[in-house]
Amino acid sequence: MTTGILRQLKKNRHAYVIALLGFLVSLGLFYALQIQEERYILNLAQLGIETIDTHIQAELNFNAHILKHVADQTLRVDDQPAKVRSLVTDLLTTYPQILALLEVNYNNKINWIQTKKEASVYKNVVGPFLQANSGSLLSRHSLWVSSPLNLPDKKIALFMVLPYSAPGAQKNPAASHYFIALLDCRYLIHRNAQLPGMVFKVYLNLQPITPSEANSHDQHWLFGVSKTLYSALWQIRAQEVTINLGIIHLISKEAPLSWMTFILGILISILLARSTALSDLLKERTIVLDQINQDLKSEITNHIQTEASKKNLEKALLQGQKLQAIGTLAGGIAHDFNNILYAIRGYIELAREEIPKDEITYKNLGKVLEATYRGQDLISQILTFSRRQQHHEFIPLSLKTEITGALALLRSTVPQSVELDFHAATEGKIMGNKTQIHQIIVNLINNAVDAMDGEGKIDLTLSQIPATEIQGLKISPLKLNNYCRIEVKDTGHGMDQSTMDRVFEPFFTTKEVGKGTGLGLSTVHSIVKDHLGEILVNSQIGKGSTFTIYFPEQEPLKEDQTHG
Amino acid sequence: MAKILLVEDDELVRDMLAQVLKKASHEVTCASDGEDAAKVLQQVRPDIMVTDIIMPKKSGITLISEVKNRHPDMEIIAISGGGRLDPIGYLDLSENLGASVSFEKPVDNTALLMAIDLLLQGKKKVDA
Repeated sequence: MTTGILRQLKKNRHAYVIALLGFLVSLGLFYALQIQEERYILNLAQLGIETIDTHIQAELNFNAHILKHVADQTLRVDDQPAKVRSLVTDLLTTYPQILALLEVNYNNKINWIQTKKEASVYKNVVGPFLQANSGSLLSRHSLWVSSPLNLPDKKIALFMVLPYSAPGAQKNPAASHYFIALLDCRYLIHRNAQLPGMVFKVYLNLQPITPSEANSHDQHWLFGVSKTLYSALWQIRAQEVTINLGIIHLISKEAPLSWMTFILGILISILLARSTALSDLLKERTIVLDQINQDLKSEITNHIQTEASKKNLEKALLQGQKLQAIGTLAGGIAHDFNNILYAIRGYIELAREEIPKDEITYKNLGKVLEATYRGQDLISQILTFSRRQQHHEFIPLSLKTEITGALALLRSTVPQSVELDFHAATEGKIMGNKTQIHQIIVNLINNAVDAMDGEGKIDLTLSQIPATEIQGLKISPLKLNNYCRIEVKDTGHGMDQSTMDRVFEPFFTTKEVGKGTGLGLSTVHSIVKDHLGEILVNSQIGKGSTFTIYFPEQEPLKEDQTHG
Repeated sequence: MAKILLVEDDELVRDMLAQVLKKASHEVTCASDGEDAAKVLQQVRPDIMVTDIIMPKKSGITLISEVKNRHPDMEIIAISGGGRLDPIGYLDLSENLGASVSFEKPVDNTALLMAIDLLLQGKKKVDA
């Protein structure tokens, strides 16, 4: 069990290593990116806070300036509400930041409202605001900024309240009132605002200012607005202000890069590990398949070789049986034929003795005699063939010497126009019968000469073939031995396959009637077989034929024993 | 001039050879096979016997061995058209059994006559 798991681990080790490496790399990337992201977010936050500072300051400065202007104007047009209202209307059209302007009397009753939209929209907001702050509004003596409010049209607004006491208000409290400006707030965003993206919190330590403080700054803020407003704003306590930062949204909330990288890294690692495991498996399988393929190939080759050698054997056996049968038959016929020929010849000779030599009958009988000589030649060849099983004395001999001897006899019969070359690369020591070796050479050379129509070249070579090489040749059944090879190559007209198949068959001849007996090559075949050799023929029409004979070389050891 | 017993089963060959030998002034007695030859030999005593080998009833081989036993001094010439008794040829065998000379058919008659003359000369020398 354990060994099985270990083996499995070892087998897929590449995949596991890759998976582990992938995981580690992913983890590293994850942490590196997280650190970067945190830094980036912090930078952005810092940047955001600074931006907010600047913008809030500018905005409030501006709005305070407007309100002061309103107050100044209304002071001058006191008791002339119509004038005030027309002034306020002008202001609204002049300053797009002001969403609405309200005048509220000391009873918290809205005297009038001027707005860019329908008054009801803001009344719904302003009403609850006034109720919630009814107690404190009039008690304030300075500019005061409310918490941000959600407006029904999805705008965020700030109330900017400016208490105002008209001259003689101390006698007539009803104369006291305050102005409220509802300001479009673009930069201060409440955290609950349903805004898309990541909400980044910025905590501003804002503290409400006390009335005394406000008093002390009374003059100050009326004539030195920016300073007072600045401090006022920053004193709103613990207001949570949120900022919409689109870029952080992308990174941090929906699909943080670090997490994305990590998960992607793990996925890639798994894929890589899987593909490695698969490729390892593929390699393994390929090796197995290659082996199987190799085995199959060698099996097929063996099979083909076996088939071929079987066929060769069958062929040889058939050929051998045929030759033997023909030989036996020929031997029987030859015996009777010789008797007949002898009778014919004897009688002709007797007859010729009775006839004067210059008579035509004498000459004609001479022709009959010639015919009997030819018949005798034929019979002699048939007998040679049929006597192939005859006992011939086998002695150690040198093929080189025997071939040279045979060629010396042959040269006179080979036409001058036929070139005859003999090259011996070895002595060619075999156990054999000299007469028969002569017969082989004579027959093969005569055959080659006949194939060339009197012109061409015959190459005769004698060489040694080591036992190791003989196995590769398509000849059988040769025993393990070194062999001597005789090659007779002519430049004659060659043979087709069907002729090659029958070339060693007795009485098979392509020569014209009277020129060949069809026994020459079958005699050669018989002799080679007697010498435990093999003869092969290779031929191409128009290019010539090559007869190759293999004789088992006489082993030197045996020779020594014989001589010893 | 010699007394010759010619043993040959083939009539054509026998007649022809008889003519040839007679022409060469030899006295010829004919036999058609080995048995016939044995009968003839009971009456006639030739100098030389010329015999074929393959014959019915009694073969040339048997005849030669019998004749050599009874008449060791009789010269024998064996002729044959071939045939074998493995591992030795008939003619080799007949020479081993005592035939002085052997010829393969078709025989060169001149050579045969010459051989007969030579054998006769040898015989004369021995007789002398």
